Formats: sequence, structure tokens, C-alpha cells
Amino acid sequence: MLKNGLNFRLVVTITLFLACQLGHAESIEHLAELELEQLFDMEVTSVSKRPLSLAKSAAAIFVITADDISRSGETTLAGVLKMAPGIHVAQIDANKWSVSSRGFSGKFANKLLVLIDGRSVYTPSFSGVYWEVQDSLLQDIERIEVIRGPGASLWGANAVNGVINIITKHSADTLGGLLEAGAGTHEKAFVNGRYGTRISADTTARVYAKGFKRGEYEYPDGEDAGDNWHKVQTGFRLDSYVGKQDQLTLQGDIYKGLLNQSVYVTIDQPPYRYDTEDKFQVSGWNLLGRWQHTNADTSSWKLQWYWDHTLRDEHVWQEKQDTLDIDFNYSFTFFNHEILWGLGYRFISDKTNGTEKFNYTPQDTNNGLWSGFIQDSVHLQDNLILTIGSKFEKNEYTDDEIQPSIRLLWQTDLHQSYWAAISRAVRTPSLVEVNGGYTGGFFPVDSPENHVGVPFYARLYGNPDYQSEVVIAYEMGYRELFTDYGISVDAVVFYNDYDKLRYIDDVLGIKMPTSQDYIPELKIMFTNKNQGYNYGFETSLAWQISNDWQWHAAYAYIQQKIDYFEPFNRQMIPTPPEHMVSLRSQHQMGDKLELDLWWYWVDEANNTSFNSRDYVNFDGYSNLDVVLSWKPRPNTTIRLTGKNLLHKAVTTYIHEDFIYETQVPRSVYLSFTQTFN
Amino acid sequence: MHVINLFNSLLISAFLLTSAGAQTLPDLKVVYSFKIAQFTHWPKSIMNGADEFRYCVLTNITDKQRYTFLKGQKINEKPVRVSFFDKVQQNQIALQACHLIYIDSQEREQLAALFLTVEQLPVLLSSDMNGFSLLGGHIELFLQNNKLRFKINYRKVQAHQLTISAKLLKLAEIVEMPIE
Repeated sequence: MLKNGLNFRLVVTITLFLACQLGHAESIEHLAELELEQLFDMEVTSVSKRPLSLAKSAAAIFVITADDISRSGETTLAGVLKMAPGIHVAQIDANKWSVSSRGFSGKFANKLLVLIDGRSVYTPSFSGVYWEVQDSLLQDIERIEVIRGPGASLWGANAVNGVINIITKHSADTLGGLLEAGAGTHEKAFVNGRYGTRISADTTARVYAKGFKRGEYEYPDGEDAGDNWHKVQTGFRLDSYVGKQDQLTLQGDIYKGLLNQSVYVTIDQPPYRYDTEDKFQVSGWNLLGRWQHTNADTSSWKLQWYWDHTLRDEHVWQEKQDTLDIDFNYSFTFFNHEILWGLGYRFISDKTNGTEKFNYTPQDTNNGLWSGFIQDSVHLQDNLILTIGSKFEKNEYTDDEIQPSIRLLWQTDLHQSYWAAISRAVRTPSLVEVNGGYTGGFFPVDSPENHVGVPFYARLYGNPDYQSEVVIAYEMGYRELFTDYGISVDAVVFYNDYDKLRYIDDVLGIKMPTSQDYIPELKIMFTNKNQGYNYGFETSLAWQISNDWQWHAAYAYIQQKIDYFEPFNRQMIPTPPEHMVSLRSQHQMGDKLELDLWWYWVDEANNTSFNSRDYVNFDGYSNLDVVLSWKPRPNTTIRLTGKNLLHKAVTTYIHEDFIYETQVPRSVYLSFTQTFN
Repeated sequence: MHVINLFNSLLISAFLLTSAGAQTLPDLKVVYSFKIAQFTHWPKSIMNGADEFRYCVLTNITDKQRYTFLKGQKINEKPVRVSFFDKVQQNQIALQACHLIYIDSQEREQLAALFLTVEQLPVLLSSDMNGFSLLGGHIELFLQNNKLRFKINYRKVQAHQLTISAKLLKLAEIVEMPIE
């Protein structure tokens, strides 16, 4: 029997070996002709392959798969995103990121909406995303959909230049245990764990916990930047099918982190700023419930609610925010129409404390936001789909906002499609822009930027009449899958016409001192006087050279022109890198080794400065990440990751204010992962 | 025996090294699902009236290549014709006419709609989605120790008027035993 078994395996192996010399289809045919028992006794390599998928959407969408994440060697959500074409990911220091799409970068990058399982993590108080606190167990992420261009007609305000949709796995797909531990030069230590179980035939659940300690980056002179940090997070997800028609999900996360940063604050005595070591806490939790119901006819609905709580206690920014959101979607088909509509309400409570840099009047605000949307996809012909939709929102600052879009998808054949879209989206005012106060630079008399003859502080005031920034976007795209060559290509051109962009006006003039020890201030205010446009081209290419080897290339080009309002020509909008290139190679070497290389190049760019009327410029840079994984056993992975290998340290971004230029150093770490069934 | 083992592993390595353009795991799953269908029997009343075996795939991934081997193949003595669907709710009638539906593991959200669409009909539902057989699917392919295995929800198969050959049952992990 044993001998028979051996011989049999030998035969199967030989068959396979021969089969593999033949073409793709033929070798599969060979398998199809094997006896049932032979087929089910055959060993297969469990390499999960990137699906060469053509998303059937008329939008610039790029999908980052679980495999891409695991092979990238990245330990943060923001870091993973730089594989998408046109997404500019840069680091301000070890615990701050700037992530933007199609221009307008910065820590306060405000034109990109980010959702984790349908929960918005966009912070309306400063109109942006605190990337350092957005996290999940990376192994539990099913995919990240990166949509460049407006997504406002479906997702609502602030999806001006893009939407990032982070989707975690269904708990039935994460059964069993996982334990990962690692350490290295920058990743001082980290531990990730998860356990998933089936509670009953219809119900599955998982819990996870993670913690890390990350080291300091460095200043250009090689000194430590004092920005080390650590954070712990835990969470769960429970999924249950109730009967045939209902599916319930309950999930939540809770985290706490301690961050260090070195902050400079402006003063009126030489050298006009002082430095302070700021050690501050961030914490938060969220709880989300979702009920999906499928009717026996062609309709279904989804009800989702969440509560999200965040707390931040910085030297310059102190805030506690609670968001309660309820959302209902209904979809049905009607002849050749596929109709989706929804209603939502969001309540945001913000409590702030004034600091030397920021304060608000009033300090605490409560805001409600009503929204509704309707979208109709009409199948004009089998291969021609027209989608018309709009979101309608009512917020407390700018009242009604209408954000429509029209999209056309033409599938010329199964593997080729073209699309075009025109959309309008808005970026609603942040709390700072409406009722904030912000102390910028101090300008002594001898400062070249001081034309008034007395020393002054530039003090920025919120504007109760501040309006939403508006974009009208025109996009066109093409996708094709060349099955014979294993190549998929995606290309997009866009033109964005912006109006009512942020501008800083000296409308209030100089406020003179009322007593001896009071320094004059230049009262400046946010207004909407800038306008401009940008246009560009983004493309990505995936090439499956062989079963074991894939290449992914991405390239983005952008040109931006802002017509600054005269005469006070304050630069308020950063210039994006003109070119960005990313090249990844994913190579499976035998069944135990994987080698991943990731080279990328980002062109020079600049950022605005709150301490000067000039831009701060930073050079272009390229870098290389290398990940070597060894799987001695099917459930064990040992991974050596080298990041930013081409430079001892490199500047990728400079903050607008209060953080000195900090460089991302070369780093390595070793990790060990064990899974249990 | 050691020699045979060595030879064997050399061949396996050769297989891995030369498998350019060869099967990926999703490719193999299609073959397995086809093989399982060959050992499943549909009611005669259904098959007698059919000109072809309608092999349907519910997926948003357009990789037709891996299904080309089905051309010229037969299931229940009928030539196989493959059709692709991406949305259940727009294709309910067409899906009801399928003999087999292979459901991509990414399509979990459409599962409820699909089960309702083909309720009680003689359609074999096959997928590599985790938990598929427990939720009411018929055949669930899964990977165990580098081998593809499958689970059968026999009670559901029965409810859909299908029968599974004893040869196939011997290899399967049975999730729900048939009602006697």
C-alpha cells in the first residue's frame, strides 16, 4: 500500500511536470483528465495570486490586496498606500504622515476621505486624517480600494480628490490563530495576535491585539528627532447570518498611544522660537454595527451605525471628539436600472482646549450633518452603463451642498473597458477655518517679510463666512487585460477645476498694541479667494511573468496651476511632485522563499509655511525596500525586511509649522509569524 | 525508497521552477469543481431537456482563461457551456437556468441573494469561500496540508434534488448528513 502510494505520487508528479511543459490551457486539461482520487491526493502550492481583475467601475480605482500588504513589509496603513498610482505618501516625522491624492498634500491634507469598514476617519476639526492612529491588524485587511478623483456622489463631502476604503475580512475568513512578533532598528519591537473561531454554524468571530514601539527618526544633522512612540490596540469582529436573508456584523477597536514630538513655538524674542519636548497621549475607541438584508425580489438594504471617540492631548492641539453616525442604503433593480439610494445622519461633538498655537471660539461645538444620495445605473446596452447620481448634504456651516456625478462605462469586450466621468465635489470648512484662531510666525522689524515697520505676530482667524472649496473634475480611463501575456493595464487622465480654494487675507490689517507689553498682530483671515486647476495622468501595470513572479509598476504625472488672488500673494497651496514612480517585484522562489523588491521615486515638491511667505522646498528622492520571507513550514514565516535602503536618511516632507525637518532613516527588522488552525 | 523520494522531490522542484504560465490555485479550483460536477447527478427530467450543461461562474474577476479547458468537456453527457455573471440581482432568471454555479470567494455579500434565487432548484453551488457549506452552499473547497479538500453539505444537495456518487462522497468531509 505504502509502495503503491509512493509510486502513485511519482506518477502524478511526472504527469504534472510534463503537463507544465505544455501551454497553460493544455496543462489544465491534463489535470481535468486525472482520476478523482489522484486529483484530490495531489499537492498544490498555496500561493495566492493577485486576481487580474478589471473592476467594473467607471472610476480610477486601484485595489491593494491582502497579499500586497503582507509582502510589502509595511507596518502602517499609510505606508501601504504608496503602491497606488497618484497617491503621495510622505513622512513628516516618525509619527506623522501626509497622504494625498492629486495634489494638496500636507498633514492637513484635506481632500481625501478615508473609511475603515464604512467608518469615516476624516477629522472635521482640522479637515484631514490622523494617520498615526488609524490602524487594524494588517493581516485582517481583505483589501484597500484606492479611488482617485471625486467620490462625493456616493460617499459625501471631502471626497474631493479621492476616497480610501479599507475593508477588513469577514470573520469567517480569519478562523484560527495568528501570532507575529518582530524587532529591528526602527521597529523596536512589535507583537500582533489574532484568534478567530466559529461560534455556531452561522456565527463567527475574531479578536485581535497589537502593540508596537517605534524609534526616533533623525534631523538632517544626524541628531535624534525625539519622535519615538508606542501604541497598543485591540478589537473584535462578530458576523452572523440570521436566517437566509439577514447578516449582522458588530465590530470595534480600542487604542491608546504615547507619542513624542519636538515642537517649536514662536516667540517675540530672538531667536523668535523656543523648542519643547512634547510627550502626549492619543486614545480612542469605536463600535460599529451593520445589518444587511436581502429581499427575495431584486432588492436589498443595509443599515449601519457607529460611534467613534478620539482624544488627543498635544502641546499645540487638544481635542476630544465623538461622532455618531447612522446610515441606511437601499438598492433595487427596475428593468435595466440599478438604483441605490441612502439617507444618513452624523452628529459630531468636539471639545477643545486653547493652546499657545490654537484656540477656538467657542471651545466646544456640536454639529449635525444630514445627507441623502441617489444613484441610478442604467444599462443602455449590455456593454454600456451610464451612472448618474448625487449626494445632498445639509451641514451647519455652508448649509446645502449638492455633489452630482455622471459616469459612463463602455466595455468593448470582456477584457477591455473605457470610462469617462464628470463630477462635482466639495470640501467643507474645518472648525479651524470657521471659528479657530492660530498663531503663526513672528516677524521682527528687520525680517525681509515685514513691510509695516513694527514687529508683529501673524495671527490667523477663522471666518464664519468661510465657504466650501469646490472641484469640478473631468476624468477618462482605460483598462485592459492581455490574457496571453498576463498583463493588466490601467490608465487615467484627469483635469480638476478648483474654485473657492483656501486663501489667507490680511483683511483685518494690523491690530496695534493697547499696552506696552503687547506685540502688534497682523490679523489675517481664511477666505476662499484662490482658484486654479490641475491635470495629470496616472497609470499602473501588473505583469504576471510566470506563476512565481509578478511585477507591478505605477506612474503618476501632475501639473498644477493656482491663480493666487492678488495683491497679497500668500502661498497657501503646496505644489505636488510632478512625477512619481513605483516598481514592485514579487518573486516566489520555490515553495519556501519569497523575495519582494520595491523601488520608488518621488519628484521634488514643496509645502507651504506658516512662518514665512515662501514655500519650503524638498528634493526628489528614490528608495528601495527589500523583503525576504522564508517559510520553513506551511504555518511559519520568518521575514527579514529592509526599508529605505538607498539612503542613510532622507527628507520626504516638511511640516507647515512647529515640526522641524525630519528624515526617514534606513531600517531593518526581523519578524516571525506563526498561524494555527 | 530514498532514491525514489529524492527523485520525487527533484521533480517537484523542477515543477515549481518551470511552472511558468501554469496553474495557479484559482485555476486548480476550477478543475476540482469541474471534476466534482462529473460525479454529481442531476434529475433526468432536467437533463433530458437540456442541450448543454450550463456551468455558471459568479465573479467580478474577468479571467476567462482558466475556464477554456472546459471547452469540449462533458458533464452528465452534455457539452459544457460557461457563462459569467457579476451581479445576482440583475441575472436572477439566467442564474436559475444554470446547472452549476461556482461562486468566487470574494462574492460573500451576494450569497444571500443567490441562495434565495436558486432555492430548491437543481443547481449545484460550489465555492472556495470559507464557511460556504455551513451557510447552505453545497460544495466547499478548502486547502489542508497543501492538498485541496472539499466539504459537502449533503442535506442541502438533497434539497436541491441532486445526487452525489458514492465515489465522491468517500473523499468528502460531510457537513450535514442526509435526512434518512
